[in-house]
Amino acid sequence: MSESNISEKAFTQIQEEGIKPSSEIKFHFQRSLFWLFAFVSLLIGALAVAVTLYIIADNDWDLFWQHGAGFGWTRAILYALPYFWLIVLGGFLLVSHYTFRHTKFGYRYRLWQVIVANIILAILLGAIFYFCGFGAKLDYVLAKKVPAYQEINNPRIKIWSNPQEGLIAGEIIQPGLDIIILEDLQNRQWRVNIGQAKIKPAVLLLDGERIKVLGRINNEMEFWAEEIRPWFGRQILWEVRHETKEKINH
Amino acid sequence: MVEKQCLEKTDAELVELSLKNSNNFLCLLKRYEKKLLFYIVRLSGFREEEAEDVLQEVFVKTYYNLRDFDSRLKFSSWIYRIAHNETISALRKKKVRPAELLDDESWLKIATKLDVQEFVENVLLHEQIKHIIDRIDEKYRDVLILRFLEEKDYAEISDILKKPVNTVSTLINRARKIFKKEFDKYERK
Repeated sequence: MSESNISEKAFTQIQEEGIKPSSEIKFHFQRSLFWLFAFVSLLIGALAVAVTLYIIADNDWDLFWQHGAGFGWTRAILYALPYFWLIVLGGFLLVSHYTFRHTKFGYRYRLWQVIVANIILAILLGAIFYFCGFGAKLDYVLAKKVPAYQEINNPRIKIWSNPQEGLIAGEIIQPGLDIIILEDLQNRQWRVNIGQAKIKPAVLLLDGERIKVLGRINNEMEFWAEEIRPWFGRQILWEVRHETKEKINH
Repeated sequence: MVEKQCLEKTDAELVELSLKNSNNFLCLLKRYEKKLLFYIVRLSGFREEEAEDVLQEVFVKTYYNLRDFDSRLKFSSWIYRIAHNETISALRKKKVRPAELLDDESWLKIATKLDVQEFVENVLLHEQIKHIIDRIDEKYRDVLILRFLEEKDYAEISDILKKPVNTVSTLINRARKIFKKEFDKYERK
């Protein structure tokens, strides 16, 4: 290759055009942005894990175990899986992987290494969030604020919309000692006899309270309750009680 | 700066000095001019004048991004990365497939380094090598050039192409297999 003088040419161009090295702050900012995105994605992934754990743990597993509840385990597990959150988790793991790969030395790690590390971190962080009650709280807030969320995500809706199988759930619209009126998840009103029912301590039977009822159909739109459970899990119970009481006081 | 003083300095030291006084940057440019020009030509198959234009752009970009250089990385890996990216952009603009433009001698060298020289000597004509090379995927070509023509080690290739070291090693092994398979086919003919 012939002797050329590109170095001189480039150097002259730099000087003539007054080109200066770009500021260090700009590069720091770009790098920090990728780390921030990676961290936020991981955080959302961890929240998805926390809600998934909460939904799975809060499922009425005993019901399937004791009664079979007409479902069988396969169907019960398929119903219980919070697909929405699993998709969210998968999506954010991918985003987190992408952003991590764009950090300064992120490319040095193999795809599976980054994915596995992300999954482990999301599970660890998600477990901490779950034990702190964040999973339950997020599920509760979304269920309250976003109507579609319950429909898409909450597997309990499918399970507790089976009066023929002895399972209904909904909101108490008229409390009472022996008979309550319950509006179920399909907005049908049931006259529920609770005289002989075993009522879980967490249930207050207040107006507007959400409950799950195990029992059998007596007549058309009449239900004989054998057991009443709170709709929300233990982790969120105090908050629900507080809100229900406030609603009544108003 | 006096040429001799320039020679005594490491790349990282010259980067530091260049940030204080731009005149020092010329030393760095001269140090890499020839190597990078060869690299650009090998990678792109550009004519010398075209390659020089690309290299000039590489040097300007290197200076503009000088503060982004991280001393945990070799300066040579960093500047090769800029050269690689700039060459690929130039190729995309021209819409040419680079492998078709690499000379036979370079590919013969690669074939030799891949331990398939016995096939090369006994079986193949340069035209046949070229036929195989023309069909080889770009991802293999990039790694092969860096490993066997630029003589970079796996860690450096990893830093230049921004791929994990294991991936670099896998690509080289796969390229070796592709070569052997193709050579076997020719031998049977």
